Amino acid sequence: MDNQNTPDGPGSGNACGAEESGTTPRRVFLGYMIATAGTFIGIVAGLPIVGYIVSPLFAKPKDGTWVSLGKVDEFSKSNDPQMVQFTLTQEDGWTEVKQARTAWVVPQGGGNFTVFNGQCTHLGCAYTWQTQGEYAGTFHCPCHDGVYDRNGRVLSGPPPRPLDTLQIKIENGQLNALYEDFHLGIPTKVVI
Amino acid sequence: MERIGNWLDERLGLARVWRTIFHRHVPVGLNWMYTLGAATLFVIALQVTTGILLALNYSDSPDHAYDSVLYITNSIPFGWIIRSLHHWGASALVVLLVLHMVTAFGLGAYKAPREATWMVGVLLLVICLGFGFTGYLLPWDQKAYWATTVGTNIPGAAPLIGAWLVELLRGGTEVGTVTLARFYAAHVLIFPAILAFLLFVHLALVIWHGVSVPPVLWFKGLRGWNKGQLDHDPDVTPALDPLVTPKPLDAEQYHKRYAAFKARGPRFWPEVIGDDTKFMLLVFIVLIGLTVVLGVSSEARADPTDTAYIPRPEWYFMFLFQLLKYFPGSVEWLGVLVLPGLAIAVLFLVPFFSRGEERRLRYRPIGGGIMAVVLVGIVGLTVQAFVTTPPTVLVEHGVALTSQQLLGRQLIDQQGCRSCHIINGQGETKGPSLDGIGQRLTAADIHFYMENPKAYNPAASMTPLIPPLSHEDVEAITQYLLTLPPDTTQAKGGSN
Repeated sequence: MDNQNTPDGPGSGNACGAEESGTTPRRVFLGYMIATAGTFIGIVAGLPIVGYIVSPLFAKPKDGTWVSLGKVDEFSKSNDPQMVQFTLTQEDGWTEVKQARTAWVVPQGGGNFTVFNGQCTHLGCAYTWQTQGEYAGTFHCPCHDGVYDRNGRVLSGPPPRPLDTLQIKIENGQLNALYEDFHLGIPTKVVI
Repeated sequence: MERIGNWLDERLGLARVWRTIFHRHVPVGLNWMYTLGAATLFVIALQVTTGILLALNYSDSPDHAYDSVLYITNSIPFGWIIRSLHHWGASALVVLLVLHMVTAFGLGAYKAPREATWMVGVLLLVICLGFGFTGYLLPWDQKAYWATTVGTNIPGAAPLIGAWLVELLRGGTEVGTVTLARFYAAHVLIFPAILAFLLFVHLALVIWHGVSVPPVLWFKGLRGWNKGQLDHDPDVTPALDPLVTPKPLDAEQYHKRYAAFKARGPRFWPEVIGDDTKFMLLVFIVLIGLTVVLGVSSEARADPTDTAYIPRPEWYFMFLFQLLKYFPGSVEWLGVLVLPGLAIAVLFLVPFFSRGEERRLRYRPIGGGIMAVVLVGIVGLTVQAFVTTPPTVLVEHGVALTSQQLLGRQLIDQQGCRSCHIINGQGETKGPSLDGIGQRLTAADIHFYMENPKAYNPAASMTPLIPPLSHEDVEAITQYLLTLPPDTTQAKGGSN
């Protein structure tokens, strides 16, 4: 490290204003050199760091899972919607976990059904079909009083969109649904 | 903009802090050895950053630790870079710390008034070795498990409190769930807190005292310095001869002399930081190179029942590992506990053993000699350890297995390949024997077959190995199979 400063009094530092504010050409050059090296390190280390942190945002959507809900005959016995609970095995980070999920099966007559994802579209609470009381004949969510009719349309309360329907198929008298979860709290149905 | 700046400065006073740290002058005549501390700090910052990122996706339980590390390495974008940087950063930190300490010793920088800076530095070295020791258990692979089992057994031979020490370290009698949890807590909670405190004190002291003037210049004085320009006040820095006057200068003399060197020196920003940056950049490029070229070698999952695995510590503990061999069992604890403990204590107290004003190494034969002997000893023990204990851990059929082949060997056990195939002389005969397969098929064919048997042979009844395995796993199995000679069954002589 060579020294180009003019000597001055011991301990007093340099008196010259340009020297102190770092505006001599040498200091400006050094400043750029440090900034360049810093930027290089910042980019080479920063890209992986940022990519690593935000990578969950770019994870591909999970494939839906076909679940068997039960016999068509059983669901046809009554006109009331019926709740079905099942367990899904899902990849969760470095593990596989079993998660309990629910769906509602709504008989539409003539062997047709509508199947709803069991989460309220507002914030994901579990709603239920009411047979008596204030909300009789509706799907009611107890968290914030979201109310849907039997076709999933919002009657009152905060839900931003109708209940989420699931794709279904009937095979050998069994009702199956493609179970998927959707982003909550937004007006459009977007699969997670 | 300027008004906002002034408003903030009146409240926070940051401009003064900035000037104190960045506009301070350092003495004339510094050289590359004075950039080692900054490079060490840089690597610590890198370790903190990559360490926090790793913690985002790590699970400190034996059931999940290995899988979470695999998840970081294989599933998260850039995860392998982050992990590999942290892995190599640990080694770089040890190298830089030792270099920083050796040069500080050589320059006599621990002498008055910088004794505390040195002592805090020794504590930082101990903490960083603690980071290394707790860190390599965390991946919960074979090396992690066995090296920690051996490492935590060492204090066990100490008289009276031995067993008690081992249980305290492990949180139980075995290396297990509790051990992993407390090593993780030490690595990410306890040690970082201590490190932050010590580092703050160390840096504050460096700023408070300023760095030491290079010894030769300090004693020669400033007369004639600066390309023949006459010193404006030669009386301030007369030549010193501590061989005649070995006592340290008194505080007033010292500060007057130091100020003269400082007044002629460059400013911290940008001159000194500029030099620091060049060295940091070199360190960074080397680290990125190691990360990209070598990565982290894949080790098999920790298996407490595997008696074939011979553990090796990290390279920077290899000298202790070697030292262990020279002490018979009953006094082993003297060699690996008391001796290093004493060495650290002596290192810590160096400023009190060596108090003379003389800082030039060639006039410090005792200190220089001890340093040389210790360095040669440590390097010699390390080299000896590597020469006498080759890195391979298992030899089969005269072939020393690599870590990749060992992984393959373990995967074969886990996947139950032997329920259909004879492998290394053992197994069922539902499928073809795989012994000597390297003489019938190429590596690519073996890999491709396991990846998708039906694509290779439509009549195959074997299920594909990908998934559940990855390409790296299948390649590991392939590389292990290639080591098997055709005649293992005969060689076993019907033992099966």
